[in-house]
Amino acid sequence: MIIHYLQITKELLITDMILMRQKLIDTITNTLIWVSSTAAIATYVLPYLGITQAYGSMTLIASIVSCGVFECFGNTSMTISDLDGDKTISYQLTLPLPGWLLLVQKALYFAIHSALLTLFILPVGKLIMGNHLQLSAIDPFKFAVAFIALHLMCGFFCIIMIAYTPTMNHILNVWCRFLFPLWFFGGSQFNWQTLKQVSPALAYINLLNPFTYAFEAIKGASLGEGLFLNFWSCIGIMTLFSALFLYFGNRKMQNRLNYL
Amino acid sequence: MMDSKALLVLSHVSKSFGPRKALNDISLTIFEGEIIGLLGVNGAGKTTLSSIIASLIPASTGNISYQGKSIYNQLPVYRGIIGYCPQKPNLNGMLTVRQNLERAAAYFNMPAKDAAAKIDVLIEQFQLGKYQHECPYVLSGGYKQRVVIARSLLTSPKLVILDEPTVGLDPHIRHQLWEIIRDLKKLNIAVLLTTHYLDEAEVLSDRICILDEGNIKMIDTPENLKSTYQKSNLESVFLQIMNEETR
Repeated sequence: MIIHYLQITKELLITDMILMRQKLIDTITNTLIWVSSTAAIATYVLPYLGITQAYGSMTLIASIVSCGVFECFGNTSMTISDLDGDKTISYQLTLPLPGWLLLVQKALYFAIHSALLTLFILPVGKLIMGNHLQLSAIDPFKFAVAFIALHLMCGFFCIIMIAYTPTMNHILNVWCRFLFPLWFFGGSQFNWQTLKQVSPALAYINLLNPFTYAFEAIKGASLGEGLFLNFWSCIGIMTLFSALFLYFGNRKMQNRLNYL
Repeated sequence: MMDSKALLVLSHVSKSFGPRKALNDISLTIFEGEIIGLLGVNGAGKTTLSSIIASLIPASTGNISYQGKSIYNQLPVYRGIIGYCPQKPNLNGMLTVRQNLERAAAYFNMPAKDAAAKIDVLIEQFQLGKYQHECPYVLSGGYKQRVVIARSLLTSPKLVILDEPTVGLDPHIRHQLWEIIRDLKKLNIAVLLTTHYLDEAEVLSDRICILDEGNIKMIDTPENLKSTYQKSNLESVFLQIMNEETR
């Protein structure tokens, strides 16, 4: 039975990949334009305002997480629009597959999608930043682990966002009131230790923010761990968040779509 | 129909959405190869019942048996023998008609060669040839319904659930779909047909099940219903039953 379920999950992923392929080049191009502009300004312009050149590297590395977070918005919007419109999910829910596993498949697809979009950030960043980006500082193993954990967490985060966003009319509210603060306070432009120096209370509250761990893990793997939260704790907490997102997302979706 | 073999047995099925009871103690047997028309006014529970039979939503209480076992204990098997066509065609708008069918075949683990052959047959049968490489959004409502029905037949189902398949369609398209539904019966496929159109139910159905406020009001053949109520057509029967209910 498990093999049967895995087979359907794989075929659903292939369907999503076929759809993704139709617009992948465009989306990667859009991502790289955004990342290149940010890296170029942070590396070559901001230092004239007194910001250190290391800020450029940190911004580039953080943009891997940022793109994942922004993709959450895109993936949520697309799925909500399907729930409001074509409801292709109502067909998928009649396949010989438990509903919760369909959500896992969706999360995996979202993770693969955002991972593919961010795969070229480092090479393109290196081209733009040259010696300002020290690739030798990156721990390849830890980077790979953080990269996978980050995108998986983003994938499962999409599930909970989809579950709790009633209609497309609410999608902007979700972005402005929820996603943007989580991303911005998560540490796209600073690390947790700096926030703790400025405001310990805010820093400890920010430990409830899943993206804090994503930013800290990816920066820790790329820029050296001393400045950031413990790497393996971050990975553990991100895994825990992923499981919680799936559990609560599935519960809410089951209430909403009333599936088996 | 009693000579036919029971395909699906619904026993005391009820469904509530919060405090609202949508279905109340529904017991019904669907026989192999029969067309059963599900009639009722808006809100009678037709779509809820067809969604429960399609295993899209669970029953709150009661059971549905297939081959003597609860469908809830054998969902993957059960879902392999049903084809569900919702009122709104839920095709993937970004895939072509052929891709929609190919992907559906892949979900059921059909070997690619067998799937291609079956899809060719269905495309021919449903006259979809000239649209097979188009995305569904360019198709008319009637053609979209054909694709959905074709998709539901890919796995050679024993029961096809059609939820208002002809709503909003031109009369000649409706008649074409009627022919398709009759063809399903010829293949010994049972059809659960939810409809608002009484003429449609009358000409197609072997038995009619009239739902009212979540209860089964009547189940019988169209002929028996007409003779019991001494009416010449099903519409008059339906109106009389509904009027009795209002009084």
